Amino acid sequence: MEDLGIHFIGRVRVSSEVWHRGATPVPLTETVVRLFAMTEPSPGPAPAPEPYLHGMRPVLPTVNLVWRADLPADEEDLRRMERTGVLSELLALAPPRPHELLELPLYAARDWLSGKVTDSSDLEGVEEPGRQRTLERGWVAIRWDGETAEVIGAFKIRPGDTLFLPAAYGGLDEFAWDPDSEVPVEDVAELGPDPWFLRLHPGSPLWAELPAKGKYPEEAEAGELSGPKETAESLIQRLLPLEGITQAEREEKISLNRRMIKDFLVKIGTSLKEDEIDDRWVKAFLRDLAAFLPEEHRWRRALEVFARHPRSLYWYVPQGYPGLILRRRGELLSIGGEEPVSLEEHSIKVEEKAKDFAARLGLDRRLTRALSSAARRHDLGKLDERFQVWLVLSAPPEGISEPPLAKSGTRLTGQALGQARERAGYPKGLRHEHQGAAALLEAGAAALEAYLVGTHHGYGRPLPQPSPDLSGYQVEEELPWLGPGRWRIAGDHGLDRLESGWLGLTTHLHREYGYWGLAFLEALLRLADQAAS
Amino acid sequence: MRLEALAVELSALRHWDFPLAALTAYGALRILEEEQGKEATLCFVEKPWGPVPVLCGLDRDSLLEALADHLSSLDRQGLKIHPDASRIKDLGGEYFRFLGEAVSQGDRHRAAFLQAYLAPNRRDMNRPIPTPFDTTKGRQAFFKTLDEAHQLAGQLGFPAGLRRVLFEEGVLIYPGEVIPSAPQLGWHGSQYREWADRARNPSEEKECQRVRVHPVAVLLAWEALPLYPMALGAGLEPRPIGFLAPQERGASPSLVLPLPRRPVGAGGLRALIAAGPVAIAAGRGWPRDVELWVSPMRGSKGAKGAYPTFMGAKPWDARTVSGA
Repeated sequence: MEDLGIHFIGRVRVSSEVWHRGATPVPLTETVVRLFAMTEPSPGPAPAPEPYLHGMRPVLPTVNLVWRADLPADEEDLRRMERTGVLSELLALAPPRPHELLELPLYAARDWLSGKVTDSSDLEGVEEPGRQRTLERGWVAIRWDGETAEVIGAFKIRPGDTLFLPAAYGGLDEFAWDPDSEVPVEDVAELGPDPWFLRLHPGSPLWAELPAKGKYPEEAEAGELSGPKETAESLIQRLLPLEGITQAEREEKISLNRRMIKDFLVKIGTSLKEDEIDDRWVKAFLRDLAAFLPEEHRWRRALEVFARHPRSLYWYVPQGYPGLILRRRGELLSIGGEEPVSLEEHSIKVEEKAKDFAARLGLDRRLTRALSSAARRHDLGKLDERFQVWLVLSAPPEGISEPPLAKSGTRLTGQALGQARERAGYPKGLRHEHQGAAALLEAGAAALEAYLVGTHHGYGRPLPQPSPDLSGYQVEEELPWLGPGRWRIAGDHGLDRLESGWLGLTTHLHREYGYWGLAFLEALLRLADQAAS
Repeated sequence: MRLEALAVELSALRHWDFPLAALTAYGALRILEEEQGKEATLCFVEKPWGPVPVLCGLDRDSLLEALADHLSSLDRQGLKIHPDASRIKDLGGEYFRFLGEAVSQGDRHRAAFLQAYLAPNRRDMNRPIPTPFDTTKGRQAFFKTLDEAHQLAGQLGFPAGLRRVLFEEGVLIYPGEVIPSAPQLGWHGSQYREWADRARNPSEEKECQRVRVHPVAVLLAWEALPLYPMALGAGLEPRPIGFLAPQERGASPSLVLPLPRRPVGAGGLRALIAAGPVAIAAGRGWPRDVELWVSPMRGSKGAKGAYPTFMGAKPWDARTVSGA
């Protein structure tokens, strides 16, 4: 067999044109790196990364398209979901995954949505063609900015938008972009690596795996169940345990269960509340369904991942959504986490991870000390009492850890979390990491430690947003595991102002460690935090 | 000793001479910190008549000496990138070669100026887009102006020119002063040449009857250009950093000037320049101890009409500043 790997390519000296298709290489200079190092705010204009990755060549403005089977194709339905906030909630719970994005020239997406079918290519750098045909339609798309979903017409699409589309629109064939195709597009969100949400709804291919109505004689029995809660209790009794029965009994039971689960899922969309769902039957259902699917079925892996998840699943039933959304982790890692965790436990865990990284990477003692200290104190700002109340209000009912908390293990969605924050009095837009960094600077901590704490969520490089809290709120705390002394956490962190020294500190650290060096240290703390969360 | 303990007020750089006066202060800071390796910072203090720049980190004599040293030994060829270049567009065809050479030779200075002058044009690789600071057109030539400014400043004497610009008369040469042909650049509102606004055809005016920009101010402001590099934005559109994009198609961008009330180094000033337009355009919160001033451009590079000129700057409405 011929070796066509990288060693072969090195030996045969393939022309560089093969790699960049004639594009002119653009050097990544200090001027540009300096601009890339500014992430909040981004410079105006923010530099595009493409020329430094692909060289300089004609590049058309593009958008990313995502097809979803649980989005209705009717514009009125979509607008209703937008008005009620369901659309934003749904997409926050099941955001776009990298493998389901299709990058397309902006003109092609606009033309297709507005009914002009243009012959275009989804290959990078291919020039705009001229041939067009016109159809009678004016479809809408859903623009998703990471927080809010907005239903927009074709003319409102902007370069770089991520657009969700109802799968029923079509537009893809088996292999690629096909504007003529009217076949519903397969929704593949759950089929990528490491699925962490799973949607069960009538548009899902999984739904089709459930038996059609009337196929099973037990249907009457399932139909007699009065309400979703009773159905859930009955399901739990029937689904568990599946062990200790004969194979024939097992198969019979599984088929009955599937029928009832389908009924049940239909009911979920109308009347069940999230706290009436039980983790046991959901996992049993997933296990059953996975066992029922053929070995090579594309959905099998995702089902097994969820069925075998060692911790409780998070489940959500957005109002009016005809199904259920399961997640393996909460929505917001910074306050959610898998379960309620005390600040001390979390901080020590992050410090251990950071120390481990530092040891494996051979960092010197000075850097290790700064990184470890930053790791232990990275959530210092969460000592704001209002943040603590927010965590408690958003924690699940089964109980919380020893306060102060770092994570609430919340299962609330964006809107409900926002309401909990308002009830707690924690101002919208206030960043706990900036409060923590300000407290560290006031206490005389090393510049690197304060910087790493202040940027561990990616904000504040180099100008944090001014604090929205001008109430004069502050609290002092003394916790032995955070080190000696009292920590003053203020609502107005002041890091946006020059007098805080934050801007000077950032530029000083860039000089001392270099842009890459500082980003590397930031990454270590962020990864340690993620690994421990 | 703290940097602020040594503070030199650049009393002749007045806000009514913005943007040129502010750019002159920025350029002085960049020279001191990045070309001369001094620990210098810049801030603007409020006086009854408006903001005045203050350079911290060295005394007045050291400041003048450092700047005069730099200007007198200025590597003009380095600033021009290529000895034969008289206009920015002369660099166009070989932009990537020049940039590649500068990077491979570790010539940060040359790379920084090249990226301040122009950005590649994805539509026509041989016609890069020049910085809005290039206000020349017709028979004027950007690098020729630099050469002339340097030559004239040398004739007048760099120390004397620096004293005049920074501490005495300011950035302008006034009518009646007998000084050989001064450089013409639209970095000051007084240079706006529009026949309808003037008593006589400007081309028929004698040199000494006109308000001109001082060559030392031109050279110092020139040194500020790397703080405003050209960048490739979304869709690879070449755009200048530190400028407000025009509201209307075909209109000119406006120059944004941050005035920090507390001392910042060149790195901090760069960040404020890059962030300023975002604060204005997107209504983002902005530090209350940094004022933003905006200088609109009139005229255009087109064959007809007035020469492009940055007009007097005005403070951005502070009522929109979060936390102010």
